[in-house]
Amino acid sequence: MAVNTGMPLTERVAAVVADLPKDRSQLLPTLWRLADHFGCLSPSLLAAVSEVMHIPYAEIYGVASFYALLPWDPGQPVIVRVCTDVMCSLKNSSELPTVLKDHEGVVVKESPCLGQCDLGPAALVGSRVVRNATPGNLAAEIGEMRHG
Amino acid sequence: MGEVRRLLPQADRRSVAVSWDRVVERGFDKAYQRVLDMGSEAAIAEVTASGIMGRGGAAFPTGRKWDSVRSSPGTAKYVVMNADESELGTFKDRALLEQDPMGPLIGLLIAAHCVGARQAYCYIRGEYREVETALSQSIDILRKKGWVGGETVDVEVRRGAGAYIAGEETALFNSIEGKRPEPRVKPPFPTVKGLFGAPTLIQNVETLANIAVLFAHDVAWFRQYGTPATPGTKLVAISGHVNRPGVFEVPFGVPLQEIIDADDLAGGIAGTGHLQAVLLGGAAGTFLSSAEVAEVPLDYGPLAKHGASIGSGAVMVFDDSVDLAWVVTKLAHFFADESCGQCVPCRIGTRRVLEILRDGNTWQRESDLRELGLAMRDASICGLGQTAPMALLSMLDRPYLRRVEMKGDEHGE
Amino acid sequence: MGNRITLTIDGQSVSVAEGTTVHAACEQVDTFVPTLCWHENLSPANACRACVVEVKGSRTLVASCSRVAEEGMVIETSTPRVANARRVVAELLTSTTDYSTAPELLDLIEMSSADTRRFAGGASWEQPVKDDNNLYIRDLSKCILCYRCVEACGDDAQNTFAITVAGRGFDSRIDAGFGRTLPESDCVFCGNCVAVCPTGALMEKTEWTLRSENKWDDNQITTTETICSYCGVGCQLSLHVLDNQIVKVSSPMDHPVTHGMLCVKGRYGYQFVQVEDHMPV
Repeated sequence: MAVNTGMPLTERVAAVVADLPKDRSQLLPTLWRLADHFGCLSPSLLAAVSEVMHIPYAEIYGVASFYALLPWDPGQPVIVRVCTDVMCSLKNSSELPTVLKDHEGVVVKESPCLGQCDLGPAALVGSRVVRNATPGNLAAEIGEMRHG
Repeated sequence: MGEVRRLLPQADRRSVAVSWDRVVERGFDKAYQRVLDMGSEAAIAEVTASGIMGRGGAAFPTGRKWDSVRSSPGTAKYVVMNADESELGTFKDRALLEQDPMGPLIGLLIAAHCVGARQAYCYIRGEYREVETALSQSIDILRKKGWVGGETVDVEVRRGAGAYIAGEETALFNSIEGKRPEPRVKPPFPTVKGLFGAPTLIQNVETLANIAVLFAHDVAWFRQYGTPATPGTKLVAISGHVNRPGVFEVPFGVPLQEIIDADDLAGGIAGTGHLQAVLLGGAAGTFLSSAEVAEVPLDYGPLAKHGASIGSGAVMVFDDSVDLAWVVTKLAHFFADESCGQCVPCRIGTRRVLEILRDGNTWQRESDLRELGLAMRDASICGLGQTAPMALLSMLDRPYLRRVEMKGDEHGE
Repeated sequence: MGNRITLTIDGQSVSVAEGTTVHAACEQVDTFVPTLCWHENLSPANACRACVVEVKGSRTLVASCSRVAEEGMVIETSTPRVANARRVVAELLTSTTDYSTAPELLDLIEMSSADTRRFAGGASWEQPVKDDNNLYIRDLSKCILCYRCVEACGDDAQNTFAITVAGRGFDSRIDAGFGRTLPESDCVFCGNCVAVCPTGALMEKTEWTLRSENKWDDNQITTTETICSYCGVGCQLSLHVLDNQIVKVSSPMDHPVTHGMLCVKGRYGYQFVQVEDHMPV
């Protein structure tokens, strides 16, 4: 979607979510749309959402701060979520974050069960699932995410 | 008896998963037409006669639930597919939606028709983006056929954003409504006052797939498998120390041992080759010792005698090298992270359980843990807090699972 | 008068109006059931779980503050399960928060024989006092997350929505958005959140200052009732006076106009009274 970056933030936000109904029940889809468009959420984005959707700022923050997947890291890093729950830990997934932390522009987070226990260790690179994760295939996926 | 394929498509299927051809190949077009022809009341009677129970964990009789939503007063009604599969060790809905997304969707359309809903939602966890795409494409195919939208029922996909608790039905409603996904107090139940305050039918993905295959056949066919009390088949997600981890469809009543050992199922114990225990039903599940595993079938009644339930269908298998105290510490970590924070027993209780276990004081503080666990089970608002201490309590109830010598931290943490 | 229903509380048959909560039914027969988060003028938050009772046929205990009584219900208010739950609730809260100015929680500790040290020593809510405006302070170390302030600020009273519960789990907290100060927030300083706070986590600055100087003495405070003179609504004010100085203004929770809620002028605009001597006649 082409949105003029010179516009005030509120207008840009309004343009990005133009097709979504301005209804409270569209708050989470709106936050997802903005996270995908801007790379991450921020206080000023939430203030703009408050204006566009007529929802109190604090309430938007209350909702947005609940969910673990919404991104807040500025600079558009590649976010890698390594499952370190029971089954992936049995396959030594807890060693993966250490290996990945040397990658520049990558934020590594530990994740609860990703629902890939039969093919662990598992990770999410951005929104893509990596099964049977190794330092090698994670690096490849990170590279693809960044350049492709 | 081994593996069955009804909910999961046969291996020799010809069509691709996301296609109209798949709908036809599986007989789901005829299933939907059959429901339209017989009318809602007869269809609900057939669901009741089939004996289908909810596959999300609670095992509530599905026909009764449909009756309740249908007869609840209100012009606006909703149906929701709960695909927010986030229970630890659980991945059967993911496998089902990957292999056959049309089944649960047709089940959803049938459900909407029967209870009189014009709007449906598919709520899918935010970590399943590829599955979400397949689901959206499947809905588009049905829309082009005129089965979704217009005068029928509209279907909207809602993406979760990383919150296990949003899979709790009333928390899920709050999430769709744009509120914090905190569970609501029940009663009122969703069938009377659910999404947007209206009567709402919310079903697990697998339950809806059962609906589709039921109407593609009939009650007699459906009840060919399973037990009289629990007809049909169940998807189990097996992980851990087995040779073939994965999702398998088995008839209810099959011995648990067979699921683990059969060549066409999990293929036997891996790791050290010695089964120590199974954690059945996910993080909120119950430990069963190898002796218990050897004697119980996969059915609610017999499992209840061991204080266990099928739950989400997760079967987590541990060989004898695993320190189960480490496992319950991991589970405690999961619940402390995923508690919504609304009620005291869960918000603070999950944290204290984690602290006590992490400090290695499990057995020294057994009575504190028991009383804390019982308070959480008895007094928490929702299923998360109520079941968070179950695995821990089940371990405390099986002192023979305690390691004579704690091996320390071979798995980290 | 609507329909009446009959239920049993601790073996005693009770008849109440349809729609009565279990907790209110217990009150009618003088059966004390403790509450922390419940407030007479706010929606039940169901959060503290101190008010749980046993309902025959129910798998779990039931929050009496919100559960509506039903015909034939059989309620037990002091079974071992109830006693254990109440006690653990008290112990969990006291392991986390500073309960020194929370009267109901202090009562709960006593009545449940809670051991306040049992679960102590782990993560707590201890944090610096937030002193960012002239009217009230926020000492969130004392917060039990009862939701009352959020409800009073929201659609139960004020409809300002300046604060919310944010985050989740043990990290849940009352927040105006990214931890911003109240002057930066949508707060209109009505102080209704302070009026309903059960723990002293929210406290008028005057009271907080006097308490920290050890000058606050409930026994020395007298209360004078008056009607607010700022506008024509007719809000009843209770002027709390210590040493001939107004130290706090509230309104009775059962007053038909205010239901205990005031605006910024009524609650905080009392300084002019104290400088009366210096005003030209």
